[in-house]
Amino acid sequence: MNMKNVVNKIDFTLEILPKEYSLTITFGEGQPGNSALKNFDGKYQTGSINNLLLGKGKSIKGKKLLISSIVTDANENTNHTSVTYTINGNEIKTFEDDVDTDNSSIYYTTTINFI
Amino acid sequence: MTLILIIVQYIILQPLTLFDMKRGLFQIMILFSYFGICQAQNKGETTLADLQSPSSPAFTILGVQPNEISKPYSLNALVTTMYSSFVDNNNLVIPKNFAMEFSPYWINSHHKLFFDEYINPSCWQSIKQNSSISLATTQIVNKIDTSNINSKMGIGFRTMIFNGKIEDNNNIYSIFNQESNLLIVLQKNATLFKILITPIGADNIDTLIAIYDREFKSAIKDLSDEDEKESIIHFNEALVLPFLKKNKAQSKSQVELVKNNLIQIIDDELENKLKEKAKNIQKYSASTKRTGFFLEFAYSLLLDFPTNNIDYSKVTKWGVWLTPSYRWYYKNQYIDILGITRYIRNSSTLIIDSIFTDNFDYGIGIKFEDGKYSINGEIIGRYQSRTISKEQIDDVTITKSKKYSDIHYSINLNYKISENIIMSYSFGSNFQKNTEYNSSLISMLSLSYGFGGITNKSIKGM
Repeated sequence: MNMKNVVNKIDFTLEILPKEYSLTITFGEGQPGNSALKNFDGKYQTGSINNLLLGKGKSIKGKKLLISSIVTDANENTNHTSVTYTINGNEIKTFEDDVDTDNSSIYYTTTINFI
Repeated sequence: MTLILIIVQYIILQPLTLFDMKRGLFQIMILFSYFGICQAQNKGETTLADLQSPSSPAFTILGVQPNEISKPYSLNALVTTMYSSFVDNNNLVIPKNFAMEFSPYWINSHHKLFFDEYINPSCWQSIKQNSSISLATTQIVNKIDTSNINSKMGIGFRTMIFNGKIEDNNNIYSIFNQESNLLIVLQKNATLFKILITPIGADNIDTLIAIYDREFKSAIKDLSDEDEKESIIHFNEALVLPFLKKNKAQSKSQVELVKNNLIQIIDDELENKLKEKAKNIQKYSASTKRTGFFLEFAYSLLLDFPTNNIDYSKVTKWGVWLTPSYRWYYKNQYIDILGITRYIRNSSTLIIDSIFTDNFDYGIGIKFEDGKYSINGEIIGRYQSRTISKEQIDDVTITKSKKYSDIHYSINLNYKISENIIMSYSFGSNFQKNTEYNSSLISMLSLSYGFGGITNKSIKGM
């Protein structure tokens, strides 16, 4: 059986074009998670994404960022998982879902459209 | 079948009079029943373990061990469980036999509770994430009026104020750390594979392999950790490339099919490995593997419904437990010092000659194992105040009460002579005067033999 894959899209409006934008991805519910993405400079980032510099607003406007995250249920108190995307310190979206069985994993595949 | 042979047992009726033949009784008994000696040893004894904070205080104060316990994990499930049990024809009722346990904290989502804080929580976080509420009901025949059946409800709360730590100075930490790191590497493998394969659109398998290979090499170049790099290269060479190279897809739709099949194979492979690591992380971060300071708190109360109507109830018993302990990890063994304090007030009508009793237990114990040797010892103090009557004369209240206090201590020494033979010596004094038990001491030397056991071969032959 395939692991659950939660596919989402986020439209993020770049309000100040000369400003630098950075991305943080966090996993809640006491569950361990990691991510991978191909940044706009062509470099791959894997693992913990913390204040990853994406570039200035004018350079990333109109672009899409594909992010693959995975969370594994290692918390005996809950089967709930969540992933939160934060840009420049502001939480822009949280997605959440339950794993199907204890200790299973779940993918969050998210595309952020910078508009 | 394991048979334990007890060769010698000394039973001395009064403590510290081992060699006083006038008062003592010497027995040599050969017993072929393991359970026989266990019962003889345990009858009437109270141990520290009996007085620790109960895991489900409501069930303990009610004196029930429910077979079925509802464990709602969401607010909807909690409301549904409560409604279906306590509401009948739009009226509140007391269910006959009901048991429920839930963790209020885990009913909600916690987006900001990260793995590290969950594993090594602060004091406040520990109280929140380890709290649980238990609720149970039962019906008991009134001992005074046996035609009357009373409904009773137990409500309890427990939590860990401190839950020890996973300290970076022992083997357990090393295993936990290793399993956590392996989980991270597997998760990185999984997400990197997804991010590489998902966006590729190709008309044939050769183009897919070429694009994938190019992107993979680029991704590897960006990795800084050599061990992770090696693991991801191995993953790619062992699983991904062989599968792609054996396919002959020559159209876009065929390539998509190959991609989906590959994703499924990789998912299956990783899912099982991730599950194993997650289970080990749970195992090695459990309370039983932690060291340092622990403090467990529990509270429960017993509600009596004399008219069996939910509108009228009274608290007939309540109790508070506080269980501090400290654990060290020394030479691959745990050393535990455990304390207990327990207070129970009982004004149940079942205690005929009292208005209420106050029971206070306190104690400390130590447990140490080192290969062949193990030692554990404990001292428990008990105080009971039994209020028999209260009389009001003018402005003066006259209270008649009886007070008892007593002490129990014991030390157990075990020596493992061989894999199947353990020599044990126990001595001490049980509660003598009062309250719930009436037996005294104990000095006992025993040899325990284990003869074989069930083998895989014998099971297969059955």
